[in-house]
Amino acid sequence: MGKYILKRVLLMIPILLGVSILIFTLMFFVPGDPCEIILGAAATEKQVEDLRQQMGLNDPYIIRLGNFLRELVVHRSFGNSYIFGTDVGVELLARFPKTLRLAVFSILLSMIIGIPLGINAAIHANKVQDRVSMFISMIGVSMPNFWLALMLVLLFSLKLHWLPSSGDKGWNYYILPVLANALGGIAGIARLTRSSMLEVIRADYVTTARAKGVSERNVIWSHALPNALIPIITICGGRFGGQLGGTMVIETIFSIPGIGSYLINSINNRDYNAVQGSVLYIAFTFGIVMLLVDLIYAYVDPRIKAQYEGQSKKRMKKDKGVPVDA
Amino acid sequence: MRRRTWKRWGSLFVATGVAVSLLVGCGGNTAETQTTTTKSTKSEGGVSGDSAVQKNRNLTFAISSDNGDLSPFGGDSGGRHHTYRMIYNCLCASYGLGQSVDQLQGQIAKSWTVVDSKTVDVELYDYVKDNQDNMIKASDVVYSYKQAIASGTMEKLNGYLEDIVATGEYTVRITLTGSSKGAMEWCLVTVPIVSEAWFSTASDADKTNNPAGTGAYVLTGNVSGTHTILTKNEDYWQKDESLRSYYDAQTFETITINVQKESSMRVIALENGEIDISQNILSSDIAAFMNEDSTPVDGWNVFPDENGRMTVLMFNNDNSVFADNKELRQAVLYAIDFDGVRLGYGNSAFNGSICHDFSPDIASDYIESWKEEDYYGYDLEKAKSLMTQAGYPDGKFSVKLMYQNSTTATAGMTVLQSYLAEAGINCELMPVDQALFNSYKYDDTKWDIIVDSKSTSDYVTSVWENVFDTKAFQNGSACFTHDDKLQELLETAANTETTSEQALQEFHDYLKEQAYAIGMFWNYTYYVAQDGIVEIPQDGFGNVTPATLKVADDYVSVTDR
Repeated sequence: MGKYILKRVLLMIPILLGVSILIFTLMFFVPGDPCEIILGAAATEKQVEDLRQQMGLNDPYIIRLGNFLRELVVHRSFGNSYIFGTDVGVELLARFPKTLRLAVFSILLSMIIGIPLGINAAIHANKVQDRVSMFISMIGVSMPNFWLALMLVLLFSLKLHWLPSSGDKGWNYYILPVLANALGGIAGIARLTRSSMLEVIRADYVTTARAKGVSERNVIWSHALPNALIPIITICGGRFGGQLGGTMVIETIFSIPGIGSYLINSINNRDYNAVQGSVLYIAFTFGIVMLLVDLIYAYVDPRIKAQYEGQSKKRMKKDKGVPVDA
Repeated sequence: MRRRTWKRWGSLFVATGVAVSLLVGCGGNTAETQTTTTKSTKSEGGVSGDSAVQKNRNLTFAISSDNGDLSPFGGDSGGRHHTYRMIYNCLCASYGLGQSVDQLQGQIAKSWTVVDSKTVDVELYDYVKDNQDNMIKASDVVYSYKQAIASGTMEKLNGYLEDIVATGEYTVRITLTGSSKGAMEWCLVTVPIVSEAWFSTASDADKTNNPAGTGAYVLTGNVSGTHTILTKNEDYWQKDESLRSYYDAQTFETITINVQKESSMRVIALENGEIDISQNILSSDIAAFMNEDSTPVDGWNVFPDENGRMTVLMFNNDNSVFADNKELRQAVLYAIDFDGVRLGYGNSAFNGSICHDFSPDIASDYIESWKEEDYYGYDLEKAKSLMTQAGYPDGKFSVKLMYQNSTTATAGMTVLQSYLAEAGINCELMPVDQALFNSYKYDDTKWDIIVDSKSTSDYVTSVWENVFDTKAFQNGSACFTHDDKLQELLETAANTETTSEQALQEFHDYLKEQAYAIGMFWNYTYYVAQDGIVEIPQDGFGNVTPATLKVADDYVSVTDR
């Protein structure tokens, strides 16, 4: 298992290098640059051109790419933001906990509500509970989160005065963003859990468990659910990884200084260093989350765990007479 | 078997919980240490009788744009405009638009003497120090100006400034490259003065988050794109309040500047009692705070943000159907009702008006009689007749109109498009984002008509130079004109030695006749404040610096209620 993890981590190095070159190239060819934004709307063409020259933005592609990679590899730095003047790495580190907080609580809420809702729908398939659950999910999936965010603010901030409308000055500032962010996830996870459970619930081993007199609760939670979890883990992992890259709309609406709002501002301002740094960070965190997801698969499904084990361990088990999975 | 499964699940759950707690918990601390600079102001001295009334006053101010780079010579940004004058002092300060050099207020400059139209001598106070106790001398002023130019973010200064030299321990001489109107004022009021000893050794992080400023406030917290916190500098060097400029007022103990880009969220934050004042409240949202008779609703004060910004329309005068076809340009201008376009942008009948020159009427040398002239008032019949003269009797040609995308701009441009359609012109709208707009606007192959926004902080000639001065553009001007007479008239009008009302009038008449470009309209948004804020002074650039707000005696910040 350790060897597998090491292999995956090492594999991330060329992936990140590829992402670096790709994002640099994309940003190089995207029209626009930060010079006029730095100088302001009153700058003339000559002033903008002078600054562009001074910042090295007129250099050929290969020189700029070389400078970027040298800075990244040799100095382990993304450089400074053109707009804010701050170190991009420091800025990302400072923003990461806020995005992480939002992502963790959103995904937990989505799972805590979504999975039981989906199970309930599956075990009462085509009955009233199923239809009500799926109706609620349909509403959740259909509602855009920016609209929901504004509705929540209108209700809980403006009308009831229970919660602050925006900012980042305490735990209560995260309640509305988490709710707005989680609702789509709840609906998606509930729908996926339902379909996944429906497949498993009709399997022979579930019928056998029932025939053996196992209680319905145990049938669902111990026999059916673990076997239905793989696609649910996949979608939850994907959502979590995506949210660690920042939820741009939610962070912008609620003025949360996370990765998403930083990235969207940087793109708008053509703040090259900040965009490149943010995208690399997102690629890295997504890679780590996907690795964790793969490891969770191993916990859930022993067949997958066996695939991760090295040949030497398999030989050892064989020598001891322990059966080895394919 | 089942027990083992549960154990496995249990251990996984605990491990995940620990990992998440560690990440969230440690991260939280990291955030505080990385983004917040905590620095106590130095003096613990007693509170003066006057400031006893003001003790513990705080302010939360919302802005709609990024707080930007707050290092001394950081790039231009909306948020920086509201902030940096509280952190750094310059030589002088300008109160209101178009202040001439003798009307400026001294900050670090004790006095200044205009030697000739290109030279000014400045004497500094001999007790200026920054908030880290570095003394400021003439050599620091010279160093600051050189750093400002080296930073690349003050290219306008680079164009204006020929040289700056220390002529004594506390005196400097500034020499300009020319006699452009507003150049001397610009050089005196825009460069933050810092200590060479500090700036030359400070790290990039210190420069942005913990600067040794010479201003009346100290930067004590800064999270880019979210908020900035400033705390009153108890040991501010200028103790004598009568010698302070208006920027150096210390009305509040702390000032928090929140960045809230969503206009609806700024309105909600006001109504919810989370902020004391917000910039950029749109005309479409103002009804909650202002009655129909323009008086404020109880509990609020409303102030227009008259910042000298106007919306202009320019033709591509080099590589389009409009090049060398004056009649066609005039025809298009007569075909558009600019007030209709202004209303299409979501403005009301009150918050602005159509232009009568290629500059807003709040510029200090604006000639009032221009308002009485016909400046391409809507006249479809005249437009059609001019189109016939221009060789396009029924229109039937297509143009590309580029503008910076926003909901309001698209609404306004759709109105403009329909006016052109009425004249038989097929107008293809090209909304683009800010960076793309900046990139395409100097490319004569990208558009036939461009709608842009231009502003002045002082004179009408500043806008004219900004758009038509051939020396500043590779292809003639911002609208690709190649007209020697226009340049000659501009140089005469913009030079302090040759300018006159007649020179201004001649340029105005010639530009109007040629119809290369037109000022369409200017409009303003609003500042909305709780009723304890009674006045918001605007500086020479049309910006409001929070420290300068005037408040009622019983003012209490909404965050302290």
